[in-house]
Amino acid sequence: MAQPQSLDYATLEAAARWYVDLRDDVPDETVREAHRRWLERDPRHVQAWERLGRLQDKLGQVSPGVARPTLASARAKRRDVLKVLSLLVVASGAGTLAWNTTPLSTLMADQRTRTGERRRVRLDDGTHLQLNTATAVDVRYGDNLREVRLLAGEIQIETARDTLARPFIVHTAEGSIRALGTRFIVRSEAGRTLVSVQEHAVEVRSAHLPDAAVRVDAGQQVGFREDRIEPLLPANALADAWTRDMLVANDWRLADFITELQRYRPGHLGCDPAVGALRISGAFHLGNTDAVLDNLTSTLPVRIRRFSRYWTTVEAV
Amino acid sequence: MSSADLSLQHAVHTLYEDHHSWLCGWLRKRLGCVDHAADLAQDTFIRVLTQRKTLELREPRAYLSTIARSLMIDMFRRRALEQAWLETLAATPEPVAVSPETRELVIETLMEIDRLLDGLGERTREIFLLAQLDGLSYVEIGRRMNVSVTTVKKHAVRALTHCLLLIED
Repeated sequence: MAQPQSLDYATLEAAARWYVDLRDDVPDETVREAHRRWLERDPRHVQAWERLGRLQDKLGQVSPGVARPTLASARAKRRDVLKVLSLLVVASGAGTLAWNTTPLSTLMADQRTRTGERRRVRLDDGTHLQLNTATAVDVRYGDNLREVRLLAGEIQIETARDTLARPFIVHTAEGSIRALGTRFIVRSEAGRTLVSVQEHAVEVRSAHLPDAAVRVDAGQQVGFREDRIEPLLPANALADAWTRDMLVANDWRLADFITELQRYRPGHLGCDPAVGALRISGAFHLGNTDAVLDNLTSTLPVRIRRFSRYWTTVEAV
Repeated sequence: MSSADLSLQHAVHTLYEDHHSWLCGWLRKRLGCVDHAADLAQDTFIRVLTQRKTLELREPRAYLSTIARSLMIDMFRRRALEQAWLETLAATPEPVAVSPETRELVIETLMEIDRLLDGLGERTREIFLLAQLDGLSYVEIGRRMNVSVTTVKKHAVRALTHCLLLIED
């Protein structure tokens, strides 16, 4: 193998740009081909691409729920300390520096999971909040209301009886869901919220029609946008499989399955349109998406092509 | 041991004899703590030894205090991080038990990430953390921060390039 070379700014910036371009959207074949050619053109491109992987590994060593608030509050503390320090230098005064200057902030009111992570959180009143992959919520408990704002991703709520009898409401970009003593899932998609109820019932309101509430009972699900609520449908019985770290597919198109699996996996995961219409069923462990992919090759005429840890496609054999 | 190593050791030894107690006093005035001052003075001389530069110093005290100052800032940095980390853990709804090894590892990694992000603007840093730690999409980040996706991506490219420059192969 060739010796690593020193990489210039332009090469690293190009790698960063590829990463950013490929990260969120499913690129078409032209873009993927262009990326492939870029990698093949120069070993330094591969080297830069692998360095991106190492950066991801480094960041993956710490739990984001802890790392982000820690880094933010450490920075604030440091500013305070440096202020104190500059005073000390002038005054040459003695006395140890106080480390508890920053009051314990409300930083942790916000709960987040990274891609592939799932977490269960118990809120003050005993309500259980479960966060699926790549999810962000703000929790606000006031005197009159218990409110959760779903900023991204998917959550399951299991409400507890509140001693103060405060209503429990989940807000999304498209509207709100009021719990009626219950267990339910809220999933945020582009411009749409999907609610499925496992126990008892909720009331759903879309943002533009706050007076038109729709009641959704256990075993039902409903999608809504900011200006309309779709018809009620029977709930997907396995909508909550992720709370048990499972992904259950029942005669899904492979393309849909891969799109769903992508949610739990950092980096790009693509599906060749030539195999997208194949059908798949089964229960898969979300803890190891690589194993899930490898498993596909034994049941379907597909192969897994890995360019690097963060670039994977499912293709025809 | 080569003769260069020997002469370096000799030079550091002289430096130590002449300036160690001055440096301890200098640090004590700034830290207000005898023990920390002694530790950092020690670390300063270790740093001088490991830098292996020839020691024909015209202003040895300025040289020593520059090194001591950067070590002091590192120490503040580490303490601020440790403190912030403990507070964050304390605010987590579920009790967390952390072994000393894990604690060391987590703090060290956080220090590394913190250093990587040095020199980035507030917004670039925030966008980087939301994307890389929280795994939010650029569209979501744009919505949260009220800026266009193009702007988010521009900051993301800048932050990633900055980090890639600092990472070694």
